Amino acid sequence: MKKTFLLCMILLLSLFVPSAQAATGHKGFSEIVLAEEGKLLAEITDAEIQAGYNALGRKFFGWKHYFFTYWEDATYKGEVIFAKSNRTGQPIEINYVLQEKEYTENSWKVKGSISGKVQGKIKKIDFALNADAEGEKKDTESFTRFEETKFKVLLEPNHRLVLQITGECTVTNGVSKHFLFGICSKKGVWEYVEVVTRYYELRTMEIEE
Amino acid sequence: MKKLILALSVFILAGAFLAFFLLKKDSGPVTFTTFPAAHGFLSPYQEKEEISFEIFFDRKSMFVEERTLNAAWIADENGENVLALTPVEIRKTENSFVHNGKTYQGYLFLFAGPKTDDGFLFELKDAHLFLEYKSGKEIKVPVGSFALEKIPAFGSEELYVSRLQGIVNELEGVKTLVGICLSLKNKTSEKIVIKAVEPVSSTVRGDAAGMMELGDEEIGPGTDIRELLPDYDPQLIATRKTELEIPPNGETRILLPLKYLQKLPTNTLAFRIEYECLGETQTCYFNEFTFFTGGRTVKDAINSLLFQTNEDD
Repeated sequence: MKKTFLLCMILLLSLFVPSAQAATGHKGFSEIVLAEEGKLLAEITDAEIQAGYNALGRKFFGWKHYFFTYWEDATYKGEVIFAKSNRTGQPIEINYVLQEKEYTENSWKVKGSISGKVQGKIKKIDFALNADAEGEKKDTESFTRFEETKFKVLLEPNHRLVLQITGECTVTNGVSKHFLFGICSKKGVWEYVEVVTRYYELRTMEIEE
Repeated sequence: MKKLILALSVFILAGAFLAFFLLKKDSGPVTFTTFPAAHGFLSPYQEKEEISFEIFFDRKSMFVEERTLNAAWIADENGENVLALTPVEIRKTENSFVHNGKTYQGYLFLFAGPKTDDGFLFELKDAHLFLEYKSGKEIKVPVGSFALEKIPAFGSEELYVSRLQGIVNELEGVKTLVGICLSLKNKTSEKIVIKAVEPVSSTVRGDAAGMMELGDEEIGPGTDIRELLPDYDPQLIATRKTELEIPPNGETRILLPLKYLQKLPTNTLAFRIEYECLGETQTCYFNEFTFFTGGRTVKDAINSLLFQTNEDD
């Protein structure tokens, strides 16, 4: 006779996200592979970064950016977002819901004296496909729609269940300088990873004693 | 006394003006749309399945207020073949897009399905969500295809799904599941024969003829299915059956190609596994699993949506 125990989980994702930074430098992305051109910030040398700064030149007021990788398609391996072991003698029912608002899908990595507002400025000024559309409503060329992720599954006795994310993303990185009256007031390197698709994989395996 | 009456009149008048302008701002035409998809749900007899649809509105109105919603049901276009739903919640989502200069904001309409005492299958290839409001207003939203099956229980005594991932490709510019890779573990000391793996859907079919055994190789979820099945055609459904054996206490990894009776994408599927063990035919039910989320929705796909306008009054 099976006994089932209902486990309802609206996740606080932070409880399950490993705190250590991955090799990519982005929390939650253990591996990012660019499809064609470009490099990840983690692979760009100090000399290349310096060359990027040198290429920026000067400006009287405002931001200047140099891109190493611009909006390049990539695939990523994410973290295990949910894991549960059943060490009882009966199957247990897992009822899992990942609500999108609890999940940060995109990731910024910023180094140097730029921070905070620069993310919005870089995205607004340079990522917009139609920069001239600023200030007016423009039809979206494409938009990414994320929906609620859920599953209900019976976990066998002495088994462990994991849910892992992989997916597709775009990578943009570069160096930026901000000028005030022709003087560089702040500068830094940054990388932005935007998730396009999340794929979920479910695995259960026997717990080895 | 006169002053008091005067002050009270001014106060009431001001309130009436305020109410008028507030109401005026919220009334008028509202345009809404949804992304039709293949929806499928499995639920044990005595459980109320959570059923949800995301509808996009060009402005906030009484259509997205929970308290104004009176009743909801799924039916075909003529309002026949009805499945009553119990409204649970209306929730603003993180999704929005711009079309013809207007921003459309997503709202998730959550409902509870019915409880039953025995087996029940409700299927519609062209399903509409009907929403009836307390004002008497009724709107009808085409949601794609719909299937709800009431079952005794999930899982089985003889086998379980030990690994599950989707193969996702673009069909006509929209990402959708084109295959499922699943590993099945035989819990018994008897041989199990897999007869079919069938999604719970009125428009998505499992292609038993194309079902094949996989090895241990890693298959990326974005792999072009034609690399695995060169003759894959999403609309060609073969009648031939393939049976696969799982040895006693063994495990088998299967690729199940998915076929489409209609061009309605899906990212979530529940399915039934029909198998034979000790000469008896059994069914193992696996509940809805979201195989992927996201994927860019291009402008062409948005332009092909049905945008309806209704008065909010």
